[in-house]
Amino acid sequence: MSPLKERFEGLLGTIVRLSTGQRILVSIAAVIFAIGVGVLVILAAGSVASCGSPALYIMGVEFCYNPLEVWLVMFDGSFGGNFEISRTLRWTTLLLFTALSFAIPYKAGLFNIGAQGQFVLGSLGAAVGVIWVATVVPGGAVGRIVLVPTGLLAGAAVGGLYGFLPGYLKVRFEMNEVVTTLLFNFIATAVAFVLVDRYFVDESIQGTQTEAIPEAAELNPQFFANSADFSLPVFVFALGIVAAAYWLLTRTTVGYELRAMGSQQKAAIFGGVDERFTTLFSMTTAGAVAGIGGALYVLMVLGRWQTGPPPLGFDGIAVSILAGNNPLGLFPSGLLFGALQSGGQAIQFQLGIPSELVGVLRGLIILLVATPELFRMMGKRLNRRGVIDIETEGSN
Amino acid sequence: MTSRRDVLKAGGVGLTVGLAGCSTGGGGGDEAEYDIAMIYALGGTGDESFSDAANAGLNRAAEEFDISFDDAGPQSNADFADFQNQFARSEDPDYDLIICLGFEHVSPLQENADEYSDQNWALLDAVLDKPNVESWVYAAHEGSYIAGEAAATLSSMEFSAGGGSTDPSNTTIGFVGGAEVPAVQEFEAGFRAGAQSVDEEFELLTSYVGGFDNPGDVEEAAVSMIDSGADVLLHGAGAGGSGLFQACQDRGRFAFGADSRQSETASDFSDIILGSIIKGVDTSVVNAVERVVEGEYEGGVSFELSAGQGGFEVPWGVEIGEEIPQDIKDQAEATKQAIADGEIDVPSTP
Repeated sequence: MSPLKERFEGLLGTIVRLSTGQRILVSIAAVIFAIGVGVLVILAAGSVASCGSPALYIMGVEFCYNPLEVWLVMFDGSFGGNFEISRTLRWTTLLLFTALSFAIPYKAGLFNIGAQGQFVLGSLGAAVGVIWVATVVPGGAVGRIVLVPTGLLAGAAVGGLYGFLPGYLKVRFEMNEVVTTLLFNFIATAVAFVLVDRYFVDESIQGTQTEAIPEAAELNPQFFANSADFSLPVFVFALGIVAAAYWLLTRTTVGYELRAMGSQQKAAIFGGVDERFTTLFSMTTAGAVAGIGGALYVLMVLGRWQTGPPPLGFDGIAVSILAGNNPLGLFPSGLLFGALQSGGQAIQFQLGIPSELVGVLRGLIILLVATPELFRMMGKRLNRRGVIDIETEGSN
Repeated sequence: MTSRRDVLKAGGVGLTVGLAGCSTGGGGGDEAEYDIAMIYALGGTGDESFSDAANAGLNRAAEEFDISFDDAGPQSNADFADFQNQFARSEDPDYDLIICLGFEHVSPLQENADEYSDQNWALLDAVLDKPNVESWVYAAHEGSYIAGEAAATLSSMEFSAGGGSTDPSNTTIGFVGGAEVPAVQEFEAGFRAGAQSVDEEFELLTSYVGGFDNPGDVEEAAVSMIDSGADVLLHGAGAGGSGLFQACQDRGRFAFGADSRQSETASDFSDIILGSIIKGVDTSVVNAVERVVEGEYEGGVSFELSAGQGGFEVPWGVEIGEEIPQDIKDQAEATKQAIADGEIDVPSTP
């Protein structure tokens, strides 16, 4: 064995053997380190940018942006007040769904990169479903009892179907789900655009968007700032879905089979696990969950379907990886991403820093925090395949 | 009143070494009379086009009037409502006017204009009928008419300049749009009408790619138009327009740009850009600010800036503009005057 490989094994082994507590410490350290690196990036960007009134002079050099101020505004913009907290929790809520959409198939050894497409089509399904059903039900409380579940079911159905498709392509034609789900995202965006443009477009205003959903179907803000498009019951519902997913994965037969497939595929099949069913089940569930997220985006945030959705499906992948693909870890990880999203908006708004730089800072935190988890996933995978040999000492 | 950013910057200016305490400092800074907020179109500044033009207008307004401003560029469809909210909620500074750029602002603004009923809003490039919103639109179809006229004249003669040449043997030109919405369709309508004012025979090939950020699709559409004989093309595809320039450059044909002087902003393609149709976005920003500063803001009205009011400009390309025959340029000036005088009625729908 080459010494290089030995060192590599040793490193991966160390990462894989970390306890949960140690992993949390590593994540916190990574956030602090990312903030430090971010300071340098902000200084560097600020020294080459040109601005009317520099924010900072150090040793006679002009800097357009003040790093301390940037991070303070980032924090203030995500937790600084009622409005900011509800905006953070809004993003967190939506990210929980798209992250779950990655985590569930991952437990079965499948990579669902298609949450974005499932989210987009699910949101369209919810918008169209609600608008259709609203023509036959009354408004008010009765309408709400009918319309909200209609939207959620429509989102889940469309998203689920769109998750089922790559699952079917996998079991029937052995098409790699990473490739299909990834490419399905582009198809989803284009299909949604054409459908809305041709059939569901709201003629009364410009742009490609459906009509607004009726007021009875809107999930209005409760207990929080009126304009933040965040509803606390929805957040509780999201946590409920996450808990249900945890229960499904750990306490049910199908969940056991799913995890068996993920940890040792051949042994699981030999032991009687139905590979086709497990694949179809996990992919469909993943799509449905992302679709519900899309439905909530329409019912709670936008109030209609419109082009230009946020990349929640892609961010969800990172949220899930950061959480070690464990549903229980999704809330803290989703909260971090929600805060970054919310704080990023505040930075742009208050400091006039270009959104690209905000994206760099967000990416920096994500990259540094997620990297140990990525290596951990890689180490476990290589170990399972027998490429490398790591003593795992019963850790999961 | 001073904007928050100015306060923070002033705090930073006081420091020469070190970072500590820089956001708590105060004093100094310009005491601007009015605070203006600007929310750009999807993508924000750096599009070398629509949002950048608004930004230029804002900077011009800042030179002319005693204002300070803050701005933000939405990155997804949720950001329009968020930024509108955030600026409207702000009390330090309390913005005297929030300017929203583009039609994507309309549906969130429908709600927010009611919710923040004592906030003054200006909506650019779209119309919303609310008592506290002033809308500004541009007679861009008139500018497009002038470009169409020049395009048809050049297409009917032997003309070559920079990296392109025309083909007098056919009467075909092309248009590639982003989304198929009135603000873009008017480009098509004016371009066709302008071309057909030269020769009834002129055919305008048209394609809409569905968005303002996909140069690949625009290039594909443009290539197939050029292969069908189009020798002068116009785009109304926002940031996707570079695809059209690429197609024209590769095949030695000419292009008109849109929304900013693209022979400068997309200088890689200046050897094939005849000119650009620029909506008077910057003019409308200055006008909108002026109405607030002069105390004329009333809300609930909409303005269409036409040929005589700086609603658009059609500057010739910086590189090959000089080679365009003078009589074509003179004709363009005459046409602009005729439109302003109401002698030519340009259609705004295809």
